[in-house]
Amino acid sequence: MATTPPPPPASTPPPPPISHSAPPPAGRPRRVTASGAYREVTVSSIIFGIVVGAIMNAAITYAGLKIGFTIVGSAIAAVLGFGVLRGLLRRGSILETNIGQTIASAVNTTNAGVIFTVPVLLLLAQNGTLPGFELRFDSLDFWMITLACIAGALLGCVFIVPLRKQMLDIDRLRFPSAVAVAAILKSPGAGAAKSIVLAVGIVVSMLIYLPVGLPAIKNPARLDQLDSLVERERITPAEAALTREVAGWIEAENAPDAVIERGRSTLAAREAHVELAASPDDDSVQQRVEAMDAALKAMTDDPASRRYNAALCIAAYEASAGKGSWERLRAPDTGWAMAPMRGYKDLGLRLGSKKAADGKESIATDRDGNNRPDLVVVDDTIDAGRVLGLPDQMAFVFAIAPFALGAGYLTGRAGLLVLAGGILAYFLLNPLAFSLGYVPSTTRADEVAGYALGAFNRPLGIGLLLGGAMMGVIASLPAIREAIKSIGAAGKVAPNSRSTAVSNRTPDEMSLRSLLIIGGLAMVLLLVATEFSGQGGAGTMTGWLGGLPVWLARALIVLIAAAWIWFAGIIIAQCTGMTDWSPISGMALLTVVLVMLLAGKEDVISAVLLGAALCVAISCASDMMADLKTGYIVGGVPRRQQILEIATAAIGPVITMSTIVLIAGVNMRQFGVPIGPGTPTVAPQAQALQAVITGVQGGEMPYTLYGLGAALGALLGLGAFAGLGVLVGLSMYLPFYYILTYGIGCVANMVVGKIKGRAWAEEWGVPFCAGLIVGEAILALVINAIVLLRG
Amino acid sequence: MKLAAFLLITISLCVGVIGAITAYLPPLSLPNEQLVGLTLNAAAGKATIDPRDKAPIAPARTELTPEILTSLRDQGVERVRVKEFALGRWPEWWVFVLGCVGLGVGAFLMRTANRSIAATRSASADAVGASRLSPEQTLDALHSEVDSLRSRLTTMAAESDRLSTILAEISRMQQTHIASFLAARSEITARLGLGGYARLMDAFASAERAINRAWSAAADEVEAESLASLDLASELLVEARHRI
Repeated sequence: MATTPPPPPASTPPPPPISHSAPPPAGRPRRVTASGAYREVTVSSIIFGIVVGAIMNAAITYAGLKIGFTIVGSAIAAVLGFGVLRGLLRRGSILETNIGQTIASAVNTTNAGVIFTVPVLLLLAQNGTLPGFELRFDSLDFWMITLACIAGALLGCVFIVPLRKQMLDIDRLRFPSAVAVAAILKSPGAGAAKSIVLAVGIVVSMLIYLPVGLPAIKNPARLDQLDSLVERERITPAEAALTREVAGWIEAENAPDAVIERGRSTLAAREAHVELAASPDDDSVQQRVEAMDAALKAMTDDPASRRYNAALCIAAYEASAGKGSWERLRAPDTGWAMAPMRGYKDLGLRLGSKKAADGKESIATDRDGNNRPDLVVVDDTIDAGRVLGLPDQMAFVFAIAPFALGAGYLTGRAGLLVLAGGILAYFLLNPLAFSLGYVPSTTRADEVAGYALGAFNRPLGIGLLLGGAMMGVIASLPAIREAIKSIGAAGKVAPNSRSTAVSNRTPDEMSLRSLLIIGGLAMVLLLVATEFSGQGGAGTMTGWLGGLPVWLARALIVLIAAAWIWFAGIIIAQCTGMTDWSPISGMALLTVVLVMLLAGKEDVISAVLLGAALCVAISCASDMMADLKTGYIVGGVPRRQQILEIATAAIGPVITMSTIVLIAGVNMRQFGVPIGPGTPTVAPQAQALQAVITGVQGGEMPYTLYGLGAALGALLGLGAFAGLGVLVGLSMYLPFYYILTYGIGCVANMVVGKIKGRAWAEEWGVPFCAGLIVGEAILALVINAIVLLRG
Repeated sequence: MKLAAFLLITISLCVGVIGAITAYLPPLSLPNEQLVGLTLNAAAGKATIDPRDKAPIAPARTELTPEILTSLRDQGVERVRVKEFALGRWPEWWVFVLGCVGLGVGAFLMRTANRSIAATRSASADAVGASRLSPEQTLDALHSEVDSLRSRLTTMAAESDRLSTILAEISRMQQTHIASFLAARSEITARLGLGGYARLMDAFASAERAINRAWSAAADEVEAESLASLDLASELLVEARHRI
């Protein structure tokens, strides 16, 4: 190998310049600014991004609290960008649309972090862990949590910017969804054939996903539908019986006295709770509330009335008192059976019948005990393992998810490692653990996958992610150093550069100094938020930092949290970059655990506040990296995207937090509780975090498994490539049915590449799979919007 | 050797995970003094009737007492899942350590194999008559094509022809030279080290992004920007060539 630099390559002489300053012919869309520059960052794109991002943020916050649905929104914004910037305004360029989707997704993406964490404070307030905690526009906690989320968004952005070169330019991480967004953006120039392939991908995706999504749209069942719904296993016989009973009440315009009395008592108790919230120090109100709660609990515990829910009792009371209609009882919240639209489940594809000795259906074919062979295809999964006769402990189930299929294809060969890790975990290790007696003997073979996921796969998977990411950072240090040196040199004219174009061009990246200033500011904001939220500086700490002065301990916690945010951001960006999956909940869980260990198990507000900051930070970090990947593919200037993401970082948290406060306020007036069970916004993700916090307080966290997993992840990263630990960790962390579908996509990529060649597989496979990703995202958004609009 | 390393890593990972799973599963063969007072983190005991009616002897969150332990042992239960961890209650720790050692050895073998493969590839690329282009040749070919495209554009009269040529030629470059240069990562890293590879890719990625921008501008029919981006790409490719 030559050790001296080779001579410059022989190339053709530079061509003479062509003058092209003339405006485009009349009638052709003008994709240049008034000064003749190519349209990229424009007022239209910024306004478009903020408006679309804000609408998506508020809508998805509501959807997330109600049904757990969230979406980053880049693909939706890209499609809308075409409609608005290119279609309506007739001037949006590819890069301008890219800026629009960048801002829209940045404004929207924060909701995933906030709704996972912040509502947990309201849930904890309800169960007495955080007595008196409220979120109102005039409460300091609201503003401090919002401030923390803004700080998190800024930290997520500034921490990830210096890693852009390492992740995108050097490691060439794939970011399947970003590739999909780029395919949409590039479709105007890609030619009619590729645009058709993209459109076909979207249509195919929608057709596949339609029967998955449609059952979410439900109507109150008619009485003549009940038997059919039971037959199709859409409702249980008990639900059908309750519906018939309630129908009798509606017809008779009367309900049992116990039900009406319980409805009256529930309403009275709620009013008392509202009164107590207004006067929390009033002992007489407190005593009245406790007495009412006790009486209500006695009524609820009565076996005869346990099957009637609160909404049904209240509706019956109001109807009997002439304050409402009896028809009000015919609603989903009262327990009236709902008839969903048709989905895959209605195909009625079942296992073959297999009778036991007693003449009943065998347990092998009837796990739910309804004396009928179980369904093989339900709305969102296909249980291929039971059809193939695999052992029960091997959960060979595929998710019906075109998104996962497309992401798998776009990931290609690297994704096979995720599939291999999943197969190892769910086909080998879990059955082995089962046969060795490492699973409680009360766990049935078919429950092993679910049990193992919670008991050891997920903790070990999180540990593997941590260890693998740590090894990835260590192994990439030379590349990271070069990337940061390159950013540091940006904007400076290289002394030996012969190139005018190279040396005179605008710097590609934000300067390190700007990033340091913004990062420092964000950390100060985070410290202020931590100091003034909850008990603030007056509180005491009992955790590992318990011996230190409170102000110092809080400053240390913020520093540690900031370092953790940086590390977690890398993990998330690597995961989404390699596979499109993001273990955000696992990282939030670890943050909350970390802060509760440092500050003490009582300092829940600080823990959740920093957890919220982290979740927002890592969702912003992965979103920014994905946007930068899209920008790379379409030739955008990274610096412009970075500045705009940081400049709009504060908008998202304010919108999400305001939406939560509005929802909580309305719920409080209507239902006596701000959020969670008993309201339409049950906050499923926050309930999961609440269980974690309760687990930390109850000493149930398997810390050792995290540590052991981290050791395995680090050792895995020493071998083939540093990211292996991350991929295997992710495969143990995720439910297997998604991994299997994703794996089909990876295998399809390799098979198509083998048969038709790599170039063909990329040229035609990418737009089609981009369509699969985008189609599901659009349809899911539409269906969820319909569900929300119908109440 | 790579296959052997891969198998060793896979088996060691399984061994390590199986060892780790037992960390919170103390065997009931341990003496009572090591078990009494621990809290169950999952129900314990065998289902006694129909498997669909699970009836544990002790539900989760139960504190283990001598009586419960006796009942569990009488039923043949061998392990229970508890909240607390202690090394003394983890007899299978050596299984985990064995897995870790195997992973370490496997990693060493894998790295050795990778180095050997990269050296072989590099040698074959240097060999006279090698049919595959070396990274330097690929970079030169890409640079020549960009310059050739720039020259050809000057000979075309119609703007629409120039734009469609840019789109077609860049699409072709992306599938040929750019893709093959990116596929040579392991070879370049073996020669230049990760730091050198990073320096090279810094320039190459900027050039690739400029080429991508030229494509987008051409698709948007903004020819001036497309040509300026091709100029920039050409100069960045020279920079990249110097770095390799």
